[in-house]
Amino acid sequence: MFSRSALRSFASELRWTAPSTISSAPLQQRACLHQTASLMDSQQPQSQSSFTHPESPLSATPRAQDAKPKGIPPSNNFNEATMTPQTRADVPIAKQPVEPTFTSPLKVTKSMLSQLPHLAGQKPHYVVAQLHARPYLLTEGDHLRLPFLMPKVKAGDILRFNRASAVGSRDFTMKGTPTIDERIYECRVRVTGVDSEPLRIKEKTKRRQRHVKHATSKHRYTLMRVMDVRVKTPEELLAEGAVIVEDGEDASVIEPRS
Amino acid sequence: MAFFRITLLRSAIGLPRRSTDVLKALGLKKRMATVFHAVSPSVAGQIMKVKELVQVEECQYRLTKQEVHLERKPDPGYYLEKSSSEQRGDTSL
Amino acid sequence: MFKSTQALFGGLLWKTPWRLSSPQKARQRKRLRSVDRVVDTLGAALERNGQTSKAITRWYAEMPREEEMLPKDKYTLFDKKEKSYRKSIHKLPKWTRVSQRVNPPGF
Repeated sequence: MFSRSALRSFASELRWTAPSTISSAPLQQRACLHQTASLMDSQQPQSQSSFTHPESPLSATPRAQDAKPKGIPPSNNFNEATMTPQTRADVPIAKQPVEPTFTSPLKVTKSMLSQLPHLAGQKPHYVVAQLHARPYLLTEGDHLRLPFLMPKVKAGDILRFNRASAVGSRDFTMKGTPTIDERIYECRVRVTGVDSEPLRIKEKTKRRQRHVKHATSKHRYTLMRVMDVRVKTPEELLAEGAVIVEDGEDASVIEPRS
Repeated sequence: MAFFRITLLRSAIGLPRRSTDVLKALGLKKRMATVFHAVSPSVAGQIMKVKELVQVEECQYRLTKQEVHLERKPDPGYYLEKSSSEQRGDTSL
Repeated sequence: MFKSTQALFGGLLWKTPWRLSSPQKARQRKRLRSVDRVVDTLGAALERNGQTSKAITRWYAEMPREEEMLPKDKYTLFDKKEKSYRKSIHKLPKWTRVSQRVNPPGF
């Protein structure tokens, strides 16, 4: 008994000492690798780089997610600032159908502000609204039958569509990068009811069996009517506290129809 | 503490048993599955065994499964401005 | 109008083209680059930690990168049975999922 424990302690000692002896050995190999790595850090070709490797910077994928993703305050007993999403129920508020709260004022470029009256004055407008990243081309008065049943809405509810990839009129189009700021336009939709398809019956058979199982499905779809699609005029935007900035790269642009 | 973010892009069907076992050891069970492992020579050696099948990034934090899912989840694109019950309250006033 | 072809006489006849098409070659280059990228990511991450790995050091020492490889090595491999000692790489079993970069010197 005693001897075994003594042996075990000796073995564990060996285990502890072993890595240190090993780790001191491959220093030569490290020197070999070091050159390529320093090349990568500087991201520039060095003149004395080894001829086994090319002069161009190595193609290692850049480090991602250096900062932990930060969210906006919580919704339903899931505190985003402190907790990380663990289960399928933990969805940050930005990805829920909740009215957004804005922290910074709307930024409008000068060129867009100068062209906005042309677009705003020309009715009717159309909007390419993105619902769950799927585009719907809508105009005022349209009847819309969604290909799914929208949860937690009843007939008579008024919804706002706030992701649009394009808003336009007959002659002008404002394109988003990838979406337009939702404070520039208004797209209101009223839920009119729920549609349902005829019952579908699919016969499920297995080989060498007479029994036939009938699988049924009956999907329901939300019906909507577009109440208004409107682009705000520059005066309205400024009254709501928009800030005018110089033209940038990634701003939405209004293009006349070619 | 840095982590490898490993995504299985190609399946190991028909490859030697060793590659399948390495994927199992890494925790990659199906295509497009993503796992996180701390940066260490042993994990690097495992990835080298299946380097043709996976995509690797280095990242600072270990994300949960839900966080990986949320990266792909699009915005709903709508919100409820006024519910029908609120409107009825307005009209009665 | 019976024309004696191998397919009509033998019944089942599968044919594989003897060379790669240009999109196949483009995808092969893409795969080579993606393997390079994985190895570079591993090497860079370990270097930041001050560690090395034998597999990666050996890879850097022995294997050419995609841009250093000759077209001959990218798309063909050594075969002693061929007259030209080379056959197209798509004859290699599981060729899209294995690394085959170096060939015997002189061939």
